[in-house]
Amino acid sequence: MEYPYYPGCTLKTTGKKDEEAALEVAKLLEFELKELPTWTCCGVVYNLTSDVMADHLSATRTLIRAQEMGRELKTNKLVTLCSMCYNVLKQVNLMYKKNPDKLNNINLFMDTEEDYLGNVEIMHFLEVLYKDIGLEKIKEKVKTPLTNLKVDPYYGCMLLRPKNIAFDDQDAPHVMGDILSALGAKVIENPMTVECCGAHQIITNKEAVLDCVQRIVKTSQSKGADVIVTPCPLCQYNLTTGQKSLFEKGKINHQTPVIYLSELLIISLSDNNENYLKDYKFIKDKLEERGG
Amino acid sequence: MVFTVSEKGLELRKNVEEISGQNIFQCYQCGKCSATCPVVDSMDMAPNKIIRFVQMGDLEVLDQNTFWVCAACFTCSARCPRSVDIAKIMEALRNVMLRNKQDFINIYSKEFIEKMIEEIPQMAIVAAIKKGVW
Amino acid sequence: MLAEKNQIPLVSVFIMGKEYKVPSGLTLMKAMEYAGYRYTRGAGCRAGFCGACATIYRLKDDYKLKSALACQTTVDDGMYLVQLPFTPANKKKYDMEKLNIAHNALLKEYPEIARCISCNSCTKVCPQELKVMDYVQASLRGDIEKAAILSFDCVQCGLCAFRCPAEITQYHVGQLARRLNGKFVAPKAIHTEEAVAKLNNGVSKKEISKLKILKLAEIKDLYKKRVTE
Repeated sequence: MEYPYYPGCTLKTTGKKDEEAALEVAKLLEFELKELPTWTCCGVVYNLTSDVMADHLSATRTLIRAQEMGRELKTNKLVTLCSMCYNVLKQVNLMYKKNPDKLNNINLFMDTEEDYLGNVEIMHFLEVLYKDIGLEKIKEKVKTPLTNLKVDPYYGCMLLRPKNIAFDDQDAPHVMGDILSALGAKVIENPMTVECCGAHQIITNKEAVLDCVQRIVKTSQSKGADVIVTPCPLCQYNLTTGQKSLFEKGKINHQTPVIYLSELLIISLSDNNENYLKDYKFIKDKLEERGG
Repeated sequence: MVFTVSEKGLELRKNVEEISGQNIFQCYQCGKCSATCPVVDSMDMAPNKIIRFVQMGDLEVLDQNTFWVCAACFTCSARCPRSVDIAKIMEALRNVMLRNKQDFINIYSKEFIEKMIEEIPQMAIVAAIKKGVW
Repeated sequence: MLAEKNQIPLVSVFIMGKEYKVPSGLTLMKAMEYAGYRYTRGAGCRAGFCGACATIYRLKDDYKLKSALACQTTVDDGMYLVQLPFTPANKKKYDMEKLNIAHNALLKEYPEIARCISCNSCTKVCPQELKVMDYVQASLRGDIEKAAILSFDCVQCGLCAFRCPAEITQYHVGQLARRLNGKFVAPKAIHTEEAVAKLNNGVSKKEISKLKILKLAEIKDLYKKRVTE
């Protein structure tokens, strides 16, 4: 099955590793993510004002591109890897469903594009794995079971809030944990799994981010996690650099590695996972140490 | 005690309600938003107090750093028992300042350009600019 | 009038609000000169290459503002026009030797490109019909090659910067993209480099010295007898 795929700016720049791994995972699980032929930045945080429409333009253009490609591939789905892009696109889509006059307005303005009809279904990569592929298939394809590797699935905020875009339970989500269990890993329950990492405050107010990271990581470490797994590139960056600063300030006594979900999937599902195991030697060590 | 809201205070309240689409008086000050906010420790004034100030039309609310520190994580809105979308109110307060030509970030300042280091994810840069520049 | 004698039809154009009758078929630039205006700014190569003559116009009974290069577009009856000889745009001073080609290379020099909301106003106003929004988005993403290729025919007229709600100067961003592309991405012209090195080493010195002392008749003779492919 071929899905129209929207990468977003970050996955083409600092988050390249996530995209490479995810495209490989798709191949292993027998589906394909086809990138939209042209696309624009999603506009990052969804504009929460009731009057400004201009900030929704980028997302609307992406939805029109998905609509066009969807006709070719005979699907109305659009898959994203980045949590922020998922959040923006889905909120914009829902806003148009609730306000057809706003959709009309935007279609009128974008006179060089076809009209957006409002029918694209946005899915996050996790949803595709859970709903379309299924845990059974993932289990079948495991080559290196992550036996006894203690993983902490960290969602962050953008995948599950606000409620109307959440594809999993808002307070006790289980989709990522279920997928990681299917890979054989031992999933840790961290009550901070949906706590915000501080997001863009890393630029304007680093202290706020350090507070958040400390909260998340301390709980994770107290539960014995070997690695924190996240789908969002900004969370991965904040948690990694945040821990470095906290460690230098003596606020935490060791740094838990933070890895993309797609990379962990490759380690488990692929025959050629040597490069990844080289990058993440600690995983290889833990698996060997615990007889995995 | 009789309390009169100033002309400007009324205007502020009206602006915030219009831009956010929220009924500011729906809040009954339970404090759940402040309790759950992940960055509240860096804020001058807690979110629920901000809403109280807007209800009272107190212009001092615009001098606080609260809505600039807000990470737009939507946790407050998810927890509010009165379904007030506090994230939208914070966005409205940011917009009241920005539309008054008071940008929070100067993207040509040395501090900002230094942050454009290679490792910072693009989404953080665009988000910071979207929230801090009109 | 000369125009009437040769029976070229006249059309009405409104230059900064004042009506003039000019022969149809003239370019906007020639029409303005026919009407008596003398260009001291906003004219350059007169061949559609330098971008000096950016013009905004509107046709009768239409609400849309359109753009053109005055030396390339011909007059239409009922055209309202104004010229924009200069864009006071921001141009960063950078040292090409100090730049590199990281994905945020363009974002670092022009951080305002992160404000792009994909409204497409720049593409709509471009008189060269370039995909301006696409090359700004490519720059945002660090795709320098794509930005350079899409912005190749830009004549730097400045109309895009005027229309942009995010106050980006698209044409300066495109110029930096092309420079970075040329320096770091595009394949090097090795044969040119080798040929230039040979010249600097004096491979043609002897022949040129011989030619310099010949008389005109001898040179003409040599020229007639040259071997051609």
